[in-house]
Amino acid sequence: MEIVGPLVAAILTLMVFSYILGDNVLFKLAAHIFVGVAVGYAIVVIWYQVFAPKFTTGDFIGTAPALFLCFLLVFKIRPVQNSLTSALGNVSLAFVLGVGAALAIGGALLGTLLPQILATANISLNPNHYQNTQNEAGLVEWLNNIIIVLGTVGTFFYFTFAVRANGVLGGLREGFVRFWAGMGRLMVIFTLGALFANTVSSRVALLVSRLQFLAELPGKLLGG
Amino acid sequence: MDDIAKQVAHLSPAKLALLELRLKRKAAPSDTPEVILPTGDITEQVARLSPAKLALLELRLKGKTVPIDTSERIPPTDDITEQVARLSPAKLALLELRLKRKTVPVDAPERESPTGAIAEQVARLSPAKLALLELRLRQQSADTLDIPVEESLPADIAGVEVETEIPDRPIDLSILTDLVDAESESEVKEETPAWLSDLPLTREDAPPAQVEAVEPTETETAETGMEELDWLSGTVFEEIETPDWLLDGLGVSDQEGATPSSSDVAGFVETDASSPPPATAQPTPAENKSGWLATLRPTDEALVEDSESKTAEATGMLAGLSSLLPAEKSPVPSPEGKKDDLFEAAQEFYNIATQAPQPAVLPVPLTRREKMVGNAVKAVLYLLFIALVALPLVPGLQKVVDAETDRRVPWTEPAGDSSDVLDSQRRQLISEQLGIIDLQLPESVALVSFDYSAATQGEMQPLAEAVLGRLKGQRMRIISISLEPEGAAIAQKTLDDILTKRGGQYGLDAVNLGYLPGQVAAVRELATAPNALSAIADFKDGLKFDDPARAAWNDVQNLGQVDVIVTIADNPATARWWIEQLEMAPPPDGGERFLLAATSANAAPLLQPYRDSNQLNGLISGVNGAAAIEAGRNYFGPARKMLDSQSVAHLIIVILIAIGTMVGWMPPDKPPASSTAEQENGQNVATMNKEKES
Repeated sequence: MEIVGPLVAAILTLMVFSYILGDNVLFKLAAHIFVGVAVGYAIVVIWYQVFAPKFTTGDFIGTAPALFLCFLLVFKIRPVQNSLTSALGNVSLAFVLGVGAALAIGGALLGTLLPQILATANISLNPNHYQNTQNEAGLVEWLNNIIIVLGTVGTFFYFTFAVRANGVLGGLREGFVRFWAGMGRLMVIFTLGALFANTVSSRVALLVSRLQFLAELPGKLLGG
Repeated sequence: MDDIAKQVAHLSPAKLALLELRLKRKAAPSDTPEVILPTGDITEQVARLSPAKLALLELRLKGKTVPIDTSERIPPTDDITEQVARLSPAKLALLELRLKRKTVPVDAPERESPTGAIAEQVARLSPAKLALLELRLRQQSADTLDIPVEESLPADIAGVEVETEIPDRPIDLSILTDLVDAESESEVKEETPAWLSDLPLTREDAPPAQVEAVEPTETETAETGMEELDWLSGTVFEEIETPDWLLDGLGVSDQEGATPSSSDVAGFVETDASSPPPATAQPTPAENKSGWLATLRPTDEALVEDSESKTAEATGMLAGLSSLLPAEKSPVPSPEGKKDDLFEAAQEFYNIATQAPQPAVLPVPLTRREKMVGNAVKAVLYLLFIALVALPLVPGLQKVVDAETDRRVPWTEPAGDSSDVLDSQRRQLISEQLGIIDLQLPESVALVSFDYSAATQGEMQPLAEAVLGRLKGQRMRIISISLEPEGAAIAQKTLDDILTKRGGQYGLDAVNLGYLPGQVAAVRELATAPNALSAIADFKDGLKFDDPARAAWNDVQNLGQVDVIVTIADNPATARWWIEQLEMAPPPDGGERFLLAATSANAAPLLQPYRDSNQLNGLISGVNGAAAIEAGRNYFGPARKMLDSQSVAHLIIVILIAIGTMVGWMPPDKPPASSTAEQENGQNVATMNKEKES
């Protein structure tokens, strides 16, 4: 079994790599196998991890509402159906989406927005406030904080769409907003570039991992 | 006929007045006394008159020949004249028609009313012709109703007449003959409908006209009249560009013998004075060359149409009349109409909107051989790239720094003094990001969430092994969970590997609680539920913490007893769930809860703000983070083995991006295929439009 497993994995890996020669049956077969195995494995895990313990312990009262909502999802199998069955299926979806939205909004406000605002507001641009400004680390931190402030303000201005206004003050405001919007635009560009580069790095790591597996496979097979 | 009408319509009022004078003169019999025309001053004054006043002037001139001794008088017509002057040509024609009806004798037989066609014809007349027509009609009505025309004239015109002594001159007769004369009543009689031909053109019931032809003296002629004659008959008439049709119609030609005969005028005078002229005495249609009056005559079809659509006027001067005011027809713009900007834009929009969908121009399909060659070239390039990336992974090609201990390092890691710098940086990284782990006491509890699937296991597994090894090196107890169904098995395998390598026993040093459904809701439940951990059965053997076999975990009920939480996530969203929900969770028993994140490289930039705000107590990502942890232990693990290949891949990608950018900057040698396709599309559009138009 220790040999069969890596061998099957190596064959499936080569089937996926066959896409280099173009879309072919081997690639599609491997993709279908992966999807099927993932779904099947998830069902098994959910059954044994979620439902089976509830049934074995006899906690039907706590399980019944969840099972009932799961049953209502059956009515959403068909995409087009009458209003009654659609409404029944929407109950489960409404419950899931409602709970998820509530948690997401609460988490975004209290876990992201407010802490991030406070953290940005607490940034000091005075180099004397950094204890180790004499060395490289303190200087880098100070510069990094400056970039954070500029980037945050500039990014907010970049999404300011009502720029034009009448009068002298309107022109002044327009110039001010356009300057900071330019800074924000640069910051958005750098951020997207960093995201893209890191995504490439992640995908290359996946490729290297598979190649590493293939490179070490003969030693494993031969060495047992 | 239309040309004649247009020519008259283009004449100025002054020229019209002169033209009328010329007509009067030509219509006069040759044996009549010489007509003394107004002086130049009078002519200029006449030229300044409006068409309406000109008509009144003519009426006054004609009225001089009408007997004044009428018993029945109507109120002065000044107001009426002004109203008439303000009327539009169409309404003027209608008014004339009404006047015609007024002139019909009570005992006269029922006559057809004028039709809309006549009104339309009248409406198309120029002001000059309308004035002439109106004059004629007024004369008729005045003759019938004995209107004292003199009283209706404005004072200025009356004064002019006094000065010129026109009433004493025989031009009245010529004025009467100008419209009737050679324009020929016979033709009117023959071609006009009955209602028009039966109109009382003569003053049958009126007293005989007191016509008095005054022959001017030689002095007058020499002083005034002759000058005017020369002026009118000479070059002046050439200057006013009298239409040939009019000259011809009046018998005026280069030969003086073509002037109207005296018998015609005399007959008219006799008729004017006594009885209507007999039809036989009127000129024949062939002789009537002034055909513009013919355009005023309604056709039989028009009469039928008009009789079918009679609608009586309710108010105004036309009250009681029907079918006299035809509805104006709104001009319907045609596609070839006015070419203004708006119209052209609308036309363009119409063309675009009605444009037939164009078939997509597909590139020329490659032949089978071309496809195979193309695929082969791409496959060779891909295989070359893979070979270069996989080359450092071959064990025999790896860098060995100590042959005795078989200690290997990546080729990309520097040696010597530079190696110390790299090691220092790595230690600093580990200290900053994973220093919390080093501060934990043995037997403290760490909750590790395996939030990645098999798809990203290649990148995340070295990181997970490195983090778990760090925790195990600190002798912490490890509880693993997963928010992904596949993560449960991955966590189990990882724990087994760590316990095997570092020593330990599953159930005592580490447990795997498996998959927690609900994603963000599961995190919330885990953070707030009092028995969030103790109520979950183990993934491997199904035991809970309250089971005697799990006696080592009896002190752990929920997150309050957890010292460090580590999320190993392949996406930023999952790590954010942990960050956000733990912000709202009650504080742990120890007073402080530490949260670390070990993520993939692409999630790190999005999670860095949380690290800067200390919402994350540590953030380590990607293969480089795992390699740093391995290097701290001098372990040539999976992450460090990947570094060389990763570096080669990055180098190739950078080179390809640079080459591609430079190629993109180069000007193209030939227009791209898309432009050719667009041209073909344009040709197709033009062809289809032509077909559509045809």
